[in-house]
Amino acid sequence: MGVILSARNLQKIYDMGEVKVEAVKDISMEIEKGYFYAIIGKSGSGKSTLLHLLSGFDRPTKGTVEIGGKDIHNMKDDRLSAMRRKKMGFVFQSYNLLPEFCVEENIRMPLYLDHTRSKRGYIRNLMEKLGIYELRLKFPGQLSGGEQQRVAIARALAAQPDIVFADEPTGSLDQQSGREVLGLLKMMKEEWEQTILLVTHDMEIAQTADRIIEIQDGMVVERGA
Amino acid sequence: MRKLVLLSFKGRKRELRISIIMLVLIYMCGIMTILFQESFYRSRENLRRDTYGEWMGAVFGAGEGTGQILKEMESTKRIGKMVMKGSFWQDGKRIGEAGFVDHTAAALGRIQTAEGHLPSDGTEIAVTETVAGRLKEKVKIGDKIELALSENGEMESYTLSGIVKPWGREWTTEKHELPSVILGTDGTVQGETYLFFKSDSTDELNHIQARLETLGEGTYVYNEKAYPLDISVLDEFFLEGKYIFFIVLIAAILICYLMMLTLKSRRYSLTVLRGIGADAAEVIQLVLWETAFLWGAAFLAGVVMSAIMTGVVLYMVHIIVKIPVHFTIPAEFILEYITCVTVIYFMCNLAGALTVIWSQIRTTFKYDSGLLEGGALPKLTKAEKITFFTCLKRKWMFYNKVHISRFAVSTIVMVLTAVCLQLFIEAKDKYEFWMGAVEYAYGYEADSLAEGLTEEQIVELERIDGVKSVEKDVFINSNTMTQDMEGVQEIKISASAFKDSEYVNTHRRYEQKQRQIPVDEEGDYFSVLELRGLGPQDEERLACYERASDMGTLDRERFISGEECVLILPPYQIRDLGGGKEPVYVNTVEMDESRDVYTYEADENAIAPGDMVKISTPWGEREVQVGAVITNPEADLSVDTQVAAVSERFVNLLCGLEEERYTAVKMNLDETADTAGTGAEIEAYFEALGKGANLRNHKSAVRSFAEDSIFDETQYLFILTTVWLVYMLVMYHGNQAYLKNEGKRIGVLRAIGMDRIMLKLRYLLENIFEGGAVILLSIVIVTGNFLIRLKKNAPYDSINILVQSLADNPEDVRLFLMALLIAVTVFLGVSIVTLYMPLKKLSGRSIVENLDDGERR
Repeated sequence: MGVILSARNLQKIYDMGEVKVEAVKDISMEIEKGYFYAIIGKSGSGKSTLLHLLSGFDRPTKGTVEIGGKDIHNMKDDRLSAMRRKKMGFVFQSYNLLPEFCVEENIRMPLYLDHTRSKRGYIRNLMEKLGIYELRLKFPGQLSGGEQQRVAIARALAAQPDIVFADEPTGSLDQQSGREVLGLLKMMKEEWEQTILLVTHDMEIAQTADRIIEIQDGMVVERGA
Repeated sequence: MRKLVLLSFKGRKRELRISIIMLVLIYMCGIMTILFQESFYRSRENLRRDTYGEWMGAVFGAGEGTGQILKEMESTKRIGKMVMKGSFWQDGKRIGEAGFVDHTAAALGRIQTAEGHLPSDGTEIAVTETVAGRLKEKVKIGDKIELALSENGEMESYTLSGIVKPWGREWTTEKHELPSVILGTDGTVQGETYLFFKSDSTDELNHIQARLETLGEGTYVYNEKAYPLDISVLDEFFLEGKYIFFIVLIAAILICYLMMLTLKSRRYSLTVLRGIGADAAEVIQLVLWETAFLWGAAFLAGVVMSAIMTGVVLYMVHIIVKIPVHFTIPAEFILEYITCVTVIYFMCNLAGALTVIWSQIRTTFKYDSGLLEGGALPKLTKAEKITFFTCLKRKWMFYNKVHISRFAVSTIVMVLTAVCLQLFIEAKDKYEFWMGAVEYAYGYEADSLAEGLTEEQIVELERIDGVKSVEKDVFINSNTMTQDMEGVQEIKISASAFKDSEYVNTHRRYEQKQRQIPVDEEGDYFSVLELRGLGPQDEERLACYERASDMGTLDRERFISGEECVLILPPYQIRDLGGGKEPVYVNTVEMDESRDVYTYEADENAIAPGDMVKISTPWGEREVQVGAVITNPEADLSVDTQVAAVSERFVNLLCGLEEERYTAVKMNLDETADTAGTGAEIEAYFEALGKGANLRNHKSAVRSFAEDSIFDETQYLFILTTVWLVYMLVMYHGNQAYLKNEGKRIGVLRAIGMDRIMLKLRYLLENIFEGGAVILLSIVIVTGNFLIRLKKNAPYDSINILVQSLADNPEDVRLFLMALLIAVTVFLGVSIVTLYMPLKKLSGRSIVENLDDGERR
């Protein structure tokens, strides 16, 4: 398996007026294709910031992030956006679905933006696997938290991306729903050989991952299988 | 609790800033509107009353019965008396009209002294500046003046107590002279009594008029110029505090809007407070303290700033446009407004707190149902393809309240702007027109041809130093000059050949209908309103008749001497151009294809050059030979088209006058000379002739029109400024709140791969569609308003005539389009500033910042 993402000397400093907060301190790492990674750390450790930097949601103060050999922070906005549509998928703690579109429309949204179509029957298959096919014509406002998160996962996988970033995907869910969502993510990874980078503060969740990266005070303190 | 409130303020600085600024502006705009309106309204009222007197009604030639009726009227507060004693003479020369004026009449008539004071007893007199100049010797205050009450009467000695400025000239209508020599006592000599009064109620005035008519004593006159009945819609709306309701309503809408902006975050924090154990009373107490703090700051700032701003703006109006605007403070209206706004503000805040108390305490807040809270989800039809229009449609379905309110506010503002701008430009043009028309001239219009000026008198006028030229005209009018005559009066042009002519009969029928006089179905005559005489000086018109005549030729000599006339009988159509249907002469271009055209047929009507026609008028009748006939539809008859063109001499002969007289005379003054001195001499000349009442000073009349226009202009400008200020504010905060909600959406769309350019394009297109719809709807409404106003001012009764009327008046269309264009431009400008700027900021932020913004809501 090759390296899909590599980060070099990543640093992020937040300027809070008189105080400067260094959220990420000189982190370098490589993410290999087809693995499920869990980034774990306490609240305020910098794990979410690291995920935002790795996914190109936020710009680092220093350092580079390469996906498929290209530095995403030096890319033009349209190129980076295209990469997000084709190669990346995102799952958020608060689902972030578009409330005025139904489940199926939300799932297909990255494809619409990219003016492409999925393989025949792929979206239906995806929805069936995630158990949301029956809900496809409902609005997000009519779904439970767990159901919304399944829709968010389906949206993240719609374009069959190389890598999926998940920021505390179970954070807003009860234990049962959280477990289900996690199982689905793993199942998707197995099925389509995707790389998953998940941020969590829960060790129990992290232990289900193939590899664990522990963050403490903005630094990687441990990498493990 | 106060400490808690202050702590809470520290954490909500931005929200507090919005609340205070909005509230300050609500107080400021409201109070400024009241101060402006009241100052303008009162200043305009004062100006009118300075010019036309403060009296509301007058009875000329009143008796004791009239006095009794006026005293009985509850609403009649002040009654002034004036007694005319006849003319004063000095060495066989008529000096002026003598009369006693009591203090109330002097105050109501606005008699102002240039020097000295009004006479206090029978030994004193005060004279107008004109009379002072006419006395045989130059006089000063305290001098003895010898005057007699008849041409050869016994001279009496009076002390000159004062010189008064010319007065009452603007309202001495109805042939009632006012005294130019004011006596200090009623005296023993009886004269015609005039009573002037001021009433609080215009309703009761009608009652007074009815009772006076029953009494049959004197002539009742309402001072319409000082108390205009035909006031503008704007004046009517703002009259006597009616607008308080309107501005309180606007303030209430803005307060509700302000509450909507802040309620979401307030509800959150109040719910949390309830969740951690605050009881209902504590929540109410907290909200009331907060409200009181905010209100106190906004109220003080709003009142102080509005007073300063109004003072500054009024001073600038005074300096720039030079109109006398006095700062008026209507304390009761301001108090009413402040009380209403304060109560509404506290009630709204309290209502917000009560909804929190009554609602269930929830620990989680669903982000994406925030805007849908409490409402049912719309019915879904799954889109086959997500296009820009699908997105637009879905947003409208989901956030219809936000979009509809934005749409409605924008449309109202656009319509208000375009209409106000149109009225403003009209008022501005009118002002410029009247200021351009301010001419140093006097005009005289006689009540009948017999009272017209002779050639000799015109020569005398031309000799007055400072008179540049004298223009003269001869006309008789069967409407304005026959008011003293009994029965229906007409000017008829008859010939037996006209009897069976459809052209003549239709023409007469509609002229009579239009004048609302009995219609003669079987006559052999044309009925015309006016007969105007032409002289050798009217070269242009005579040449036009010569060119256009298609039967016979005009013999100028015979025409001028009154032996011949020209019949002008081109094709006409019946149209309603206001005040009922009437014949309108048309050429082939102006013809309305959908209507009947009445054409003079020579064979059918059998009148030809050389035939005689008879012209009958209330002042006499006379036959005249037809010299030429114009039937050509292409004739250029743009100048005063009438059925018959006759000469000045003919009109005089018709009225039985051997010596020629002129009914309308205009004296143009040399602007570089002493116009005041020349004016005084002209006035003296006409007063000496006993024709002073019909003399008009064009300059002062025109100036008052101009002043009226500039009041309108300034008011419309003020309304425009207020509307736009409020609109800018509403749109800015509204769009900020809207885009704050959109921040999350922008974050999500960017996260799933929408690039910045697409994002901006999407929002831009959305707003182009919304803005386009606003502009289209506004154009429809404004055009409708324009057509309705056009119909009121220049009625049209078919689309063809409307099109023709617009083509004939390109200026109206230009004004309308200009107003619309400015309104659209300003609307687009505001949209860019209030929407594009925050959007640019949002799309420039990182995805994380946008997503976090949504989380923090």
